[in-house]
Amino acid sequence: MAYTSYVYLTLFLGITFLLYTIFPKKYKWVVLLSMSYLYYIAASRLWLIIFILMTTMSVYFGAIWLEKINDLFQSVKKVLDREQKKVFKEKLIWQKKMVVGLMLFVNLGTLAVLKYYNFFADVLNITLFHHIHKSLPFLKLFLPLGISFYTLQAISYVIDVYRGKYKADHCLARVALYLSFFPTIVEGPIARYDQVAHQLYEGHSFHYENLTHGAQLIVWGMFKKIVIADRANMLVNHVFDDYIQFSGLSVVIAIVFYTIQLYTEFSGCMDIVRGSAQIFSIHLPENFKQPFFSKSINEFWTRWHMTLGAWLRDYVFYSVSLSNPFKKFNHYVREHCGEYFTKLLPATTALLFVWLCNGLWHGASIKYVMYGMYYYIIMVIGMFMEPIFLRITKFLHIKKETKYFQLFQIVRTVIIVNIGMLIFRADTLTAAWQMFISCFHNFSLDFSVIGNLGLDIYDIYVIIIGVIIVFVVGLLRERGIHIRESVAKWNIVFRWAFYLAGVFSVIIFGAYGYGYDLVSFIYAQF
Amino acid sequence: MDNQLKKNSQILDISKIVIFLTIFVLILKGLSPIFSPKNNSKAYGIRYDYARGFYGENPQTIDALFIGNSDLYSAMNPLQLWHDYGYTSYVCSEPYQNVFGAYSMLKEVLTCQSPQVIFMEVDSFFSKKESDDIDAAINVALKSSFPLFEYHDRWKSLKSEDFHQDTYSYNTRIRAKGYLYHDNVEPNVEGFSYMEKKRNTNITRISRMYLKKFIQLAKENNAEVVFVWYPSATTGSQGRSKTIKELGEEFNVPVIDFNINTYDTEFDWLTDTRDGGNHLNYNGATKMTKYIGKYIDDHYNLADHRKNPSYSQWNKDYEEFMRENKIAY
Repeated sequence: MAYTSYVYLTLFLGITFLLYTIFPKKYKWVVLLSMSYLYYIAASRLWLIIFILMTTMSVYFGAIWLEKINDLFQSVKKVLDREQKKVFKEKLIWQKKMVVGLMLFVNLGTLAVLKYYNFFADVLNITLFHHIHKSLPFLKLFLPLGISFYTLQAISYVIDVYRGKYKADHCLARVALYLSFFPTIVEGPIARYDQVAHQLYEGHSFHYENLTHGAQLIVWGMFKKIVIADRANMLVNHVFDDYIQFSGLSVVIAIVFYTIQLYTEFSGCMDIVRGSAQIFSIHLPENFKQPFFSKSINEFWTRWHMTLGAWLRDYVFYSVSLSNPFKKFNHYVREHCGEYFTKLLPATTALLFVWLCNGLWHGASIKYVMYGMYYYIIMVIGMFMEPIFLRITKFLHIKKETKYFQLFQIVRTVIIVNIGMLIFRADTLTAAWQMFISCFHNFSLDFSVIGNLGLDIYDIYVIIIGVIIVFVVGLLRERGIHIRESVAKWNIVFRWAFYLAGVFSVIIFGAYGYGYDLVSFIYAQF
Repeated sequence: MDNQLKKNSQILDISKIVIFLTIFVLILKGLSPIFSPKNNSKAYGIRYDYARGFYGENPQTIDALFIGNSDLYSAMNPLQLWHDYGYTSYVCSEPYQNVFGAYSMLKEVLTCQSPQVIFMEVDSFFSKKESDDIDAAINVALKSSFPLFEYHDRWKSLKSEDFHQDTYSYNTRIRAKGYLYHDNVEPNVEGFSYMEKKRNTNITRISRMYLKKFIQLAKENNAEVVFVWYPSATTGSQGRSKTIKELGEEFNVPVIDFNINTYDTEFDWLTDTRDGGNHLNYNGATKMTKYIGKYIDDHYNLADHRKNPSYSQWNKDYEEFMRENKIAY
């Protein structure tokens, strides 16, 4: 049951909204929880529900266990002397670590087996077992819907309780709803417990503005997904599936169109997701903040898939940085290396884990690992070369504040991101490399080649106009102007005309039905 | 007082929603005729023109109707049926047509034709998920109520006459009456072994509901329904055949299942398929049509129109079809 399907948009969302409105405030969570599980069953297989239930139960009891350990320390610390307190605290910290370790083992272990077993079996067979003429068997494994998303949410909840950010939740329904809320289960955003759990559980009365704003956000997301992304998909598939036949500008166009496709699709999905939640007066965190206005790759990753970036920062980067072996490494660097390396080595080492996880999270293949490494290497180069870049800009008298320089930075970032997208989309690393090289073969600015890439000229126009609209909306948001809020102040005639134009532009210009392929959400497979 | 204000505000909000949705539906209704093709031919943008050639036949002249997916337009040749028995028939089959599409198609046909017997291809009855089928049912219902959903892409080819309501002329005839001729042979060397495969035998509740509606609609229009399953190596299985048999008993509809019984048609997977078992070729269609003709002859009382001058076009169509495809006749 895709978020763009009729059954979701009309029947499922409609019935859920009606039930949510009718139910007493105290029991509105029952509607959301039941409908979330119904969605899970309808969109997946019935028996796969066992995995999300297992995750829910494990982190629910795990968090309570952690809290009990904390409470135990609080209750006995008054009767202990300083030395006893220290020993006891150390013991309890060790116990807490064991609990978190167990939670990670259960949940990450499940994810690792279901998502990565075959990948690691392949790697081990090639590298290790090949020499001893043995091999691990490949298994036919089912990947439960949304496991990459709800597992990260579950881990963030347990670690936050471990770190004392908030107390364990004793309400199982609230934890279950936090992990299974139907709009977020397929593609995120990877929301934090303290951001959404209470919003989900407490009942919200019918709120006209939230309903209409949510619906508008859904239409905007549909526009990005159905009108732009699904149309661009045809050109992208045409070139990437037979890349040997293309070179020069054709390949460049295909790469740019894939970047457009992925951005409009994923951010469009997030708009549908956030809009779906908003009609229940639930506000989910944003996942995109005009990423193509970024001046550096670092900034790009704080604007693109923001909740994943924040998760990796909080639970991988910080966890690695604060670990004992890393502290020792840090100490060693400080002792033996100069100021330059002391400043950069620990950070870049911790980042290595972040980007390894980022790559692997996207998929169980070397290609995705390399995708992560691509960004890691660019960031590391940027960090190490910073003093040299500073000298060059000073020598050339370049003023970083000028619009031209900022535009240069934005274009540079867009180019780097497009190369990253090439790695992401190409079937293999070899294909990505061959396509990259072929960009420079027979290159000329003859834009008529676009007519030979699987789309008719009308479709190309729609994509270009669609991208201009997305760009203008992004530009306005960068300047602090929010379209929905601005339009809401218009006269009702113009306002409704604007809304109807939006809805009908999706219905008329959408790339669906006869002649178009049904395109699944790309991030739903992760 | 506050409560009253709140209530009034809620009534106003709900009224706004209702008015907005009403305007939305009215615009949908208004735009749909503009986007609908003005003729049932491909040049005018009609979907699967070969399935909609019945509009071009003289009204109420089609006696037997065939509805189904791509298996059907590869397996049933109405012109052969005409030549052998003088029965007029039409194949209204579209790729991936499901039960909901079949129901919608039957409603279209009944606007201008009154078939006495309807053969319903069962190949696409099976599906795994209720939600997918509900989605498909909504999709078909929307397209049938608001053709804008079906023909939205015609914005690329809209002409001034599209804005005039009186320009509809659904009169294009399709010579082969919905049959698609293919003479290539790509054998299915494994024969009927596919019947031993384990395949999903689930027919969703919504599919059953529409099946019931289909049969009901046929009955209301004095037409009898027959379930038919042409040989299909990509979808057939013992389990599915059993389900179809039970479904036939449940709805009191006769079943012809060529997957479990070749009915002495001499059907051969080595010569009668064009793509290794998914669809039949002309050889296969000839054998299937021969049997169906005999079945109709044995069970129904359809008129032989071969000597009726008002049906002379059918004779011409037959000859043209044979000549065009270089088939001896």
